[in-house]
Amino acid sequence: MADWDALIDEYGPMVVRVSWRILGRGADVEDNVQEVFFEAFRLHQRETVRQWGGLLRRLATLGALARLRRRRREASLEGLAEPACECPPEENLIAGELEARLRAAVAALPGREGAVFSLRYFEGLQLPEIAATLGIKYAAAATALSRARAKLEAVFAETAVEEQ
Amino acid sequence: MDENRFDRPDASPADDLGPALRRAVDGVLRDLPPDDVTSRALAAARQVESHDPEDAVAALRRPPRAAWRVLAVAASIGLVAGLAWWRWGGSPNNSMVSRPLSPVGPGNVPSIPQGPETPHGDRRPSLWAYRQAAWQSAEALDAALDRDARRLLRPEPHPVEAGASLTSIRQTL
Repeated sequence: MADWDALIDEYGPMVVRVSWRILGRGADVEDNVQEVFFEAFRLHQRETVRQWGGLLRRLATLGALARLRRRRREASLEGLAEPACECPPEENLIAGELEARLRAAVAALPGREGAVFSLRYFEGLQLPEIAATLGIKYAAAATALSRARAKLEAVFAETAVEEQ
Repeated sequence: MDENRFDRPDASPADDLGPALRRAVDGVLRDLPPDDVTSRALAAARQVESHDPEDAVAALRRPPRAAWRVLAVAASIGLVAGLAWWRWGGSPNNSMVSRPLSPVGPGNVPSIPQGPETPHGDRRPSLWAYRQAAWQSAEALDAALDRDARRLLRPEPHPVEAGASLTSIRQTL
């Protein structure tokens, strides 16, 4: 049995960080962190986990993206926009809008593309690490990243035009 | 491969993005989780081990130990009661009192026959008398039981043996 507290001490901040970067502010972060460790614990009871870091990063990324998509669907159903910041000055408002727009665009990507983009640009992983983390081939990871970046560039190119 | 240009050790992940997308990514990277969110999230993660879902499911499927004890005691009582019923009350032939299937009316109440008389004129308690009393009514059965109980509790005079009396008479003569 792994030392659960030691695992949380070592990897917990990383799981929080991954969840926070994808989800942004909100109670979803805490829920995602708990769900990640819950799922990891269940997996650990069924089989031996060799790389806790990779497993937890993958669970955190996929779980946060799933929550982000769910939140986006609910927001579109309710017709309410996600608040960018709680009490921001003007600069923060612009930055917060960009971040919120990026998160919304990532949530709109297909599952693998969103995960690859998040691991590459939010976590700074290299493509071989991304492929190993997600359990996919290097070529598949590279293709997914290329497509994700192209789609997001298109979204933010429109944003730049709107700003001008 | 085209994507290998991102794998340069000195490259920042967002370097190859367009300016607007890069600004958005940089904003996400600068936005760090507050300490209170981190501590709450980690505290929630620590609770996972103490709320083991497998144990919870297993506990739901497995009756508690107290329930096993209750079941064992109930089974023992049932076994003893079943043996007792089989030994003393299970067979219809052994039943001490049989109840009529049809309602008893004044016309079909059997008369209570008189049993054999004791030398002192009392009737001995008999199963037949009790059965007849039960056929008649519950009150009649109670009355028969009370009557016999009173008689049995009453001290009886010692019987006089004819032989002993003759001997004592001869001795006196």
